[in-house]
Amino acid sequence: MAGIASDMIRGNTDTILLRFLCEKDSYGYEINKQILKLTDGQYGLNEATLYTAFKRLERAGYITSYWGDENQGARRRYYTVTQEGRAAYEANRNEWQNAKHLLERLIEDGKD
Amino acid sequence: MEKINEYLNQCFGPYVMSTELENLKEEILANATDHYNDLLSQGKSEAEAEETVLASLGDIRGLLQEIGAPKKETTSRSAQFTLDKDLIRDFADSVTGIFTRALDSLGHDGTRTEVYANIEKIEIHGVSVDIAVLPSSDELVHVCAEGNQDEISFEVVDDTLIIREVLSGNLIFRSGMDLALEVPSSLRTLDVQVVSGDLNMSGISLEKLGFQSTSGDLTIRHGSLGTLYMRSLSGDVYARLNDLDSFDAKLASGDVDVKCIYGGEFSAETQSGDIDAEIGETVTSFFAKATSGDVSVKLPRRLRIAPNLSSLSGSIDTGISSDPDGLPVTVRTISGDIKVRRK
Repeated sequence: MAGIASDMIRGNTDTILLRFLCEKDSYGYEINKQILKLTDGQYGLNEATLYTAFKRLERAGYITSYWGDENQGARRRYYTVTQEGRAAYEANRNEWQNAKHLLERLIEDGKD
Repeated sequence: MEKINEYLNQCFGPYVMSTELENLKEEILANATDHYNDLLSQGKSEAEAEETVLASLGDIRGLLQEIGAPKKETTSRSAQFTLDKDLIRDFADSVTGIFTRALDSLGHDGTRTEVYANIEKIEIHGVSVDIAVLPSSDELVHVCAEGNQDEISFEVVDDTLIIREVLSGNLIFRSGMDLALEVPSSLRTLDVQVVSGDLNMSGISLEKLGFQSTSGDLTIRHGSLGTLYMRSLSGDVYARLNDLDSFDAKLASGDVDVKCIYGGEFSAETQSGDIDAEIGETVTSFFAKATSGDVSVKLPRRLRIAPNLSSLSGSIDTGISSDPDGLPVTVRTISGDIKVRRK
């Protein structure tokens, strides 16, 4: 599934992460697992992309982070969405809906 | 998990481990461990699990580059040391303390307001003077100067007001001066020469504006100018104007971002900055040169143009047809890209 789908998913990384964090607080690996599941194993973000996106979202004030309380080994970094983050997610979602409609009109030849 | 630990140590090795990097490393390790354990519980062997996790990590080195954290320095004597931040902070505090106390004993901070009539020209000379200029509601020049009052001087010679930042003893920890000016429409010339101050103007019309700075920026939100003359090392110019009869800017690393509705002669040169220009139908000549920066020009729809564009290693993108009788539009860069479009 390389090519267009892969590019488009990567291009929408921020919105995808916000979607999951709007549902509940989570951490890198858990989100990536859900992405794999929802795409039937066809797509997973590579982790460097994930961390860059987390930093970006944190800098923009859309998410904040905290440590998990695992008491053995490395602690998990959990992320939580902010008010601004929820608003950004809604805005991005609307833009995506709009883009989807426009693309459909342009690509579909209405013959099916 | 050995190979994974080793890989992370290798990626983070060259960097000075700040709290941010320590946190990131721990986060990556936690996610990798979860992933690894999941794979084991799915029946994969340790070796397979390690390979899969390593592949999924992606370009961690690239990530660290992007973060831009400082790298460790290795001298030829291989003396590696990590900076003790607390020690340095204490040292900096005590040094600043010494200078602050010295500063307090020299001069006094305050605000001074002056009003002048019949001024046609204002000259400002200083080291680090930030200047804001707005229109005044009467025919007078109002000046409000904030800073060390022992270092500010005002002088009127005929119809010219000269404001100077006079340097006293302390040259290291200068707080500089803030000037707020309200000027009438009868003011004709403003000439500013500063080392590091910014000049901000809004709603002003002048016959001539001169701005020379080492690192100060020029920002003009709206207004009209006869001549704009700018020379700067690293300062940028951002201007949105109705009229700009003559624009002459030479910068070293500053950017030029100028848009005007009318326009006349336009000449902009910068070495490593970019040039973004949009100019109106009254333009009489156009020259833009950016050594390594990009140039983007928007020209009036109906103007006949003879483009003369050259870039040594950059790309040239123009949809404009050349008219040999048209206005010569010259754009040169060495390694930047050129884009010339109609509005």
